Amino acid sequence: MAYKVLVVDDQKLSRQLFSLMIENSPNYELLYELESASVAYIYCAKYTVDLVIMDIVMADGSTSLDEAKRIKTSFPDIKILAVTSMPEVSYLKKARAAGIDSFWYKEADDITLLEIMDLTMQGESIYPDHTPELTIGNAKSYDFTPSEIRVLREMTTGASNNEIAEKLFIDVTTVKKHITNMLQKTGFKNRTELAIEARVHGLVIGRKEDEVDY
Amino acid sequence: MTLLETNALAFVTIGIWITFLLLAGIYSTIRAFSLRRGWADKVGACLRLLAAFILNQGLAVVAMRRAGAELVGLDLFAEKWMTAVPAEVVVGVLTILTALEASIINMTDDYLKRRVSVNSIKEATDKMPSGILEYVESGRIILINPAMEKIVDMLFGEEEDLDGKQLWDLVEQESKKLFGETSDTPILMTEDESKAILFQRNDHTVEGVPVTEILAYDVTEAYAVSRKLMEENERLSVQRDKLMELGTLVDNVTREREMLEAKVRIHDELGSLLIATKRYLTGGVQTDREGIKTMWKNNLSLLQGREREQTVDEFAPVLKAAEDVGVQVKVTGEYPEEKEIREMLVFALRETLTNTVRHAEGDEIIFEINEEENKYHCMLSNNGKAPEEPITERGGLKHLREWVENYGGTMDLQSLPKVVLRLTFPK
Repeated sequence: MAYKVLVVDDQKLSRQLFSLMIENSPNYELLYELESASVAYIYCAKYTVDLVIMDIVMADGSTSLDEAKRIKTSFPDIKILAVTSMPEVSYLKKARAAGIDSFWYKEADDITLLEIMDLTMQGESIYPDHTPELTIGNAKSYDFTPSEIRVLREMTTGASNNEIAEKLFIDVTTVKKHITNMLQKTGFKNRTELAIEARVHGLVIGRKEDEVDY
Repeated sequence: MTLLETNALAFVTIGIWITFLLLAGIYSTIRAFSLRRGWADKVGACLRLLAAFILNQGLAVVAMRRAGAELVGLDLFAEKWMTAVPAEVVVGVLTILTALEASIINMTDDYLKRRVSVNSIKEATDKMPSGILEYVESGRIILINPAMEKIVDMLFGEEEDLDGKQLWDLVEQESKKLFGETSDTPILMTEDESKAILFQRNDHTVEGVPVTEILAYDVTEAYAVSRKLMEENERLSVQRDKLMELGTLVDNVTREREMLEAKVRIHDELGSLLIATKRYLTGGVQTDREGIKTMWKNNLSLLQGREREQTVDEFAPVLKAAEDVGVQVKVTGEYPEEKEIREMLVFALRETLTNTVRHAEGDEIIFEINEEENKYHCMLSNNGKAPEEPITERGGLKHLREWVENYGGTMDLQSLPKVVLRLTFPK
């Protein structure tokens, strides 16, 4: 019997491609394709869903991670496969924390989507070893420490040093130290340049959104 | 050697000394009484004065005897004592009395320096760098220091004599002109903006009489720093908005790139499909006809699909979801125009739909929106079964309540006999 799949992606072309691939596979049956992750839970509540393929970043700037967590909490048997082309370093960790079963970068060439779907339905949890490697100035994405990444993420929202310190519960001198270190690693002249480059490359995506804890 | 036997120079010196002691005694006694010192000080001063007086009279008698004058009565009695006592003893007594007098005078001076009197208050306020003015209910000024006079002249120039109330009203007026709003601590600038003065008003009571105090501080430096900070904050705020815009732009570019990559894949597939179709039609190669047909169907469906879909409104995804899960949503009234209210209503409708599907097993939702002059009243309910006990607000409902109340609206959730969600929003 074919697994019933929900496809959630805000881009129609992406949804169509996923849907075509599913329909051409004997192991899967497309249940619905959805434009918004915010209604995915409703379909899971109504229908028997085996797998949800969910794009992480939505058009309105929100992420579907909260919805994924909500679905996994109420329906732990449903497998969720997160897909994205954004190399934001925190998504892997956040996806694991939300209980997402597997994770796939759209540009991945080491494994196809169908392969990862098959492995996931067999009970395996497939995650990339690391985020795609990016070059930011003179530095590689793996040159930044986790603390520096956290500070950098807040910088891309335009937050001041004091606001960053308050949000991350650290001292403002620590914030300044991290920024200085990052500027030295990348060779950028100022924090604005650093924040812009990090955002443009998608290394970090800072957002001011409320998280609903289901 | 007695006083009779001392030489003239020594005798005159002692005489002058006693005279000064007498004068000091008079001075100390007057001070002790005028400063209202304690009885011990007053009595001490009188005794010292008496001692000096007696010595003075005694010396006068001795002087008369030295001059050969005839003494009678009390003078004879005094002469007997004064001539019996050695001069050294007299000098010793004078020394003790002088030291005592000097220390008492010194202590009294210290006391005067420490004591707060009417004059000391005036002295202190006159020396204050900040301005101070006090007035009674009628506005009459009862105290004003030079610093305040200078400030008033500097700010208001050659104004008519202002009373306390008039001054405060003027300060508030001018401050409002500058900053567009009133404040408990209005600030005024001089015409050339070289000085900034902060005013403060306090009411208190002095011996049952209501008194109002106006204080004025030169805050030029602090004001300049705060202006700089404000400008810097504005600049940062603009930069912040630009960064967020950039973020949205980057997301859009990433999407475009994804779409482009998808199109490239489709293009490549089409290329392969055309080659396969050509082979099939020319009959040169054994080809799967049904396979080719399916591939054409798939690719054509991709090519026929719109590139960009336009979401009609925010309610579309949840209304479609309702339709897909077999729940009819009956909407009466117009959706509000305010974006944030619409977002909250979408959230509320989604929560209602979730509850209808997951718990109530209903198939209809009533969604009413009523618009009044100043607010919107919205109501959501379903035709499913009621809960067995009152609903505890958590997760989505809790978030909705916080959102609505922060906006200035109200949320009322009825659980029994049926679930009804009522929301109001100010316009």
